[in-house]
Amino acid sequence: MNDSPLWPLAVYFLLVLVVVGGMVLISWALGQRHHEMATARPYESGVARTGTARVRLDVKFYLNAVFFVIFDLEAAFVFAWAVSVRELGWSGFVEILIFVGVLLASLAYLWRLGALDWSSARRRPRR
Amino acid sequence: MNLALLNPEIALVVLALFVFALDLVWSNKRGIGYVTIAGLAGVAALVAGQFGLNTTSFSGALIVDNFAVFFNLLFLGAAALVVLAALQYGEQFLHWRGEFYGVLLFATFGMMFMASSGDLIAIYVALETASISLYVLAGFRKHDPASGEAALKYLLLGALASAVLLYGMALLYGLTGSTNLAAIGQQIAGQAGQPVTLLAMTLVICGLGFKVAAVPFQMWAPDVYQGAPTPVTAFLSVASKASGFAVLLRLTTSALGPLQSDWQAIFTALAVVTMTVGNLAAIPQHNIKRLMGYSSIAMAGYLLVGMAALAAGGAPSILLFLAAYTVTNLGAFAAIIAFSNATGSDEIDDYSGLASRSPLLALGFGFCLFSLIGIPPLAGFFGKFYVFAEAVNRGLIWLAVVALLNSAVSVFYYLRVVKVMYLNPARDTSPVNVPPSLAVALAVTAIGVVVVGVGIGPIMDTAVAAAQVLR
Amino acid sequence: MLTLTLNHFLVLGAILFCVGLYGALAKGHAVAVLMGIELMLNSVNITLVGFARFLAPDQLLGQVFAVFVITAAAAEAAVGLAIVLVVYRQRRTVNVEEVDLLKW
Repeated sequence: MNDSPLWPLAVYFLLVLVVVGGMVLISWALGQRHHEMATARPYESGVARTGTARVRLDVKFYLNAVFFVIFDLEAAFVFAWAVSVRELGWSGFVEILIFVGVLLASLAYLWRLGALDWSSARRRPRR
Repeated sequence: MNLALLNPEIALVVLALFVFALDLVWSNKRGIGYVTIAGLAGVAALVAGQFGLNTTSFSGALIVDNFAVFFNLLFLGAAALVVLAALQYGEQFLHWRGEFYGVLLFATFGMMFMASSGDLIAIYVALETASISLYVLAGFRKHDPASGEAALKYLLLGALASAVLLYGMALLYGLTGSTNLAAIGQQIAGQAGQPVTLLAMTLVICGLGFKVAAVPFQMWAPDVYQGAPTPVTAFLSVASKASGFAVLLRLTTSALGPLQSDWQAIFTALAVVTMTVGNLAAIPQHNIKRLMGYSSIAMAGYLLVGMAALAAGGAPSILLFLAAYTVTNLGAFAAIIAFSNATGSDEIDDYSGLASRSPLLALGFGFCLFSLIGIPPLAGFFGKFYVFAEAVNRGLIWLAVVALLNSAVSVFYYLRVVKVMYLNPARDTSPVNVPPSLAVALAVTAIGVVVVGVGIGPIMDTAVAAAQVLR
Repeated sequence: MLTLTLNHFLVLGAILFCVGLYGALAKGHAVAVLMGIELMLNSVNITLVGFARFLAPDQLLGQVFAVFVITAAAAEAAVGLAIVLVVYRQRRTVNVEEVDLLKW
């Protein structure tokens, strides 16, 4: 890794610039120009837009995003186990079972709390 | 790899998960509190059974020795008393009480690992476990803006501090090629005197200085102490501080041992400013929790005097101070919680005439305040006495004099609270009701303050046995 | 010809750490402060992995450390954002200069 020269990377980067810039320039030079009603609208498979894209996202998305981040990261440990599964043997298997078991328990806990329910009506207020 | 050495920790995690599960199905939240206390007692019995062991496991990442046992018992005891003190408080001020106990157990778990880790990775993970749980606990009063603000400040500054600590750890790893404390200690002697070694050490001490609220990393403490739910403040002031010193002691004696003259200079400087700032800033306070915040900064300063005087065998005075301080401060906070349960106030002025409204509460609180001042034969006196004596023994006489002068300043603000309770006329003469759980907590700590003071011999022996493993 | 050495990793780590520290201290918005801290943690990861790669390529100590740092950082960010959300609901602002109910 240390000895591999870096100049191909620079060439690659230049090539990307040339190709992308070329595509934009050529279509700008050759393309036709007109200003109809629908010209400036974003094209989304022919579906007419319904409003601005700058809507305030519901905070529920945040909750799901955080759950994803937390549970997703634990995959790093599962991968670490998976690449050395033979060396670790059965004790490693039991350990990863406990690890995943704790994760499952926390998922079940979130479920019971109602944190996974999409509609807030079903969330149980508790004291 | 000896899994049996982990029994107390495993038991504590199982207890925490059990408390979370119980919270889902059992609506008797006070019952969950009792289950938590009983479980903590069981874990403490397991820890006590490890006394006398001196082994390491998991390639040195886990150290089970008297030092770890001493600190683990301290954390478990503090957690049990905090749960006891929170039973009544929670009914009035906290939602999600079952979860509160569970998160508190996770924080305790992290602290236990902090005291028994012999590896930088383990220390970091343990520290984060404890810290993240404490951030959550600080913000547990969801509808109280002060609590949310306390949690936000604690989180932002705490995360900053752990990033700084982590950079120091990364440099230590790079300098020595190991994350094991003992191995670092062997390797780093050859690197002593290099600027990058000093930088790594300074970064680590800065990060941990935040945990123990040493000036200039103390700015979070008064705000968080004031805004957090009072039982959490109590836990922060004793267990969090003790865990920070446990890591500092392990790191400085094993990993940074060859750099002793360097870190002693740093600790000396930190001790002087921490004591002075803590004590002077405590004087004008009118909120009792904020006052206790500055008082705890001052206590960190006295403990840093012990760190500055740390040499072979110098640690027992620090352990003794921590034990005495833990008992005393938990007692003081039990009284503060009892008062705020009854009146909803933390203002010192509202304590006027407490002696006539609730003589026993005032007596217990007064006891703890006298112990914090350091009046013999209470626990706090012996804590300070041994730490200052250690400084004199190491030739740091001027540092001991500064510490004594600071102690004299502290008499002023502690006695002011006593004066308000006993001499000022009560504005509201209705008696302050102390619920049984808090009365038990206050009685246990008040008796502890006297027992630690009077029966200092055996406790000193325990501290000496615990400190012996540090070199 | 330019080859990557340990110094490159360390200098990148140090620069990123300082940028993150500056962001954490200078920014007013709580989420921006969290982002600065996240940058500091990632700079530590670069430093750790760099050390591990060049000092002891057969030992994976630095990489293991980095994985734990990433996990802890994610937990910290999750709790941090939750607290930011709570404070926003209470105060309608998460600017650290405006959150001053307790003396800062």
